Amino acid sequence: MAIKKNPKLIVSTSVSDAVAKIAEDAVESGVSFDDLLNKEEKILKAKTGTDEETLNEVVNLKSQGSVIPGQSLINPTEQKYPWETPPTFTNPREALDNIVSLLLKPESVKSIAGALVDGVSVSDLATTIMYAKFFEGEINPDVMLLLIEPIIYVIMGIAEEANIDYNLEPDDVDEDKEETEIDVQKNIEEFNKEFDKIKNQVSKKNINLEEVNENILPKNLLDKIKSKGSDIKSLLSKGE
Amino acid sequence: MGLFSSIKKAFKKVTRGIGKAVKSVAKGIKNIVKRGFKAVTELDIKEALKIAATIGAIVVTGGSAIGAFGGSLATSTVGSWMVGASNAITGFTIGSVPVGAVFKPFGYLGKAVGSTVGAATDLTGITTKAGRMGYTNIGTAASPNFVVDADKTFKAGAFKGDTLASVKGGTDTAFGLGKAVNTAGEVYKIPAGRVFDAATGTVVDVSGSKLAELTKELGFEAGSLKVGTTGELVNATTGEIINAVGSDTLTGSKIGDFALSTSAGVASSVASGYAQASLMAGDPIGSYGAGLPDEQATLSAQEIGSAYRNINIPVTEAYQNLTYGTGDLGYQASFQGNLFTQPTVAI
Repeated sequence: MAIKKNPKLIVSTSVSDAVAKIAEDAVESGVSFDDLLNKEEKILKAKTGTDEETLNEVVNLKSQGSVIPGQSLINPTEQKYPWETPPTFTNPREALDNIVSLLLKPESVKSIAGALVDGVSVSDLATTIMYAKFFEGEINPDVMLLLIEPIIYVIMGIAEEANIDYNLEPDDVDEDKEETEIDVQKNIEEFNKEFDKIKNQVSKKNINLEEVNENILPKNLLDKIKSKGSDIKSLLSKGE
Repeated sequence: MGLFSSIKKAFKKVTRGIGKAVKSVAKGIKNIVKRGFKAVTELDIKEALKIAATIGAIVVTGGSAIGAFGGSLATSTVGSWMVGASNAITGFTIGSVPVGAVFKPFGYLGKAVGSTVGAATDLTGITTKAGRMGYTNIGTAASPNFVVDADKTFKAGAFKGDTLASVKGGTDTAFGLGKAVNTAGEVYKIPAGRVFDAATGTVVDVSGSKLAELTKELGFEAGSLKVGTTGELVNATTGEIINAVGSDTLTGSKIGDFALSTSAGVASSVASGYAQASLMAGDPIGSYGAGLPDEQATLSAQEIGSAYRNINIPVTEAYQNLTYGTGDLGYQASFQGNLFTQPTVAI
């Protein structure tokens, strides 16, 4: 079919909405998608499932403990975290420009393509990138949330160009494939198996005060715990 | 709830929502395509996602970055359709705001970023330069000869309307599009005044009968002219430039222009490669993509202004708004940085 007209002007506040409108306009204009559809089979398939190594890494990370609530409040006022200072970009468009520039650098594209093939989902990648940008104090939380969608589309574009059969979301399933009851049962069993594995590994970790990382709990506090033991009252405990 | 907990919660909510939105767009595209093209009976969700990703990436990056990917995004009909129309916009102001200046960062993005992307995918081994750039081997596997796009049509001259592939299928022995690719997939520009000789696989000077023909045509004595190092036609003895390479010419070279206007023996000599190189080097249709009309209708600035007014976005504050679509000023402004080099017109 010959192309009848140029693109209609479309202004939208979300990329998805703009995409839907442009696709409709394209079809009305006689634009064929054949050349996109007739591509050969995707060369690189994203890995799915969990491997032993990744699982161990997750368990290890979860076993390291977490920050004590309110810890950040005891920092000296002049020693601010990057996200506590004014962000580099408050204008989403400028932030998008900056982030897309970084994403499209050869080394970034290489890493992104590698991650996608390894099975990392597009949404996880976008989230990680945006969270890192916030963490580094480059953008504020509002801009971060505003830019997730466009960044997802950029990563999808990279994946498509690299001919990767990527996962859009972590729990991506082939939606064209009808799930049978056996498939569902199999997935539940697999989930339970993995869940038990994590549970067992975490519960096996007996906390030994001698092995507590001093970077997490200073030595003087550790000594105090050892000497006073059960005499130490919780801040949330009932008063005398 | 602490800041990070709130952020994580919001993140989960937003990404889950976007994931759903992207998938529903893909499903919508399935229906749209099916409705528009009856021949398409079944569209895989992955194929629909590909369409969504292509359009989305073009919109978000302003098109130019994705265009520079080469390959499917840039050469796809839908990509060319979106990018081509915007190329027609030469510059405008909205109200008193010079839009070009406002959107300068995107102009930078389009120019600086794009060319590096494909190189990255080459590094990963996912693509090859020749494949990514759409080069086609019209030689044999044992003796490959690449051309930029075998489907491109000549815009004038004896082969007007013919594709390079069809010309190659005829009797010619040389070809080129101003650029050649060696067997390692490296692209190099064929200097003006030289040709890519498919017979030897090397770039050679325009010489022999073709030069004699040009010399005669220009009214000089046989053997009195030669091709200079940068493509100009010079006096063989004094070195005086007879026909300088000019950017204002049809092909960028007087010799190319001449080759354009002549129909005699263009396909049968080494010089035909040069002629074709000259012909295609400045071909604007090539950059738009195959299948597009020669002349793109210009989108008027008024329409863009209206698009913003219709959704209550003050055009003077357009830069502050993160909007998307083909009417988005960022999208319009980002193509090849044209907005920053062209005179503006007030509306």
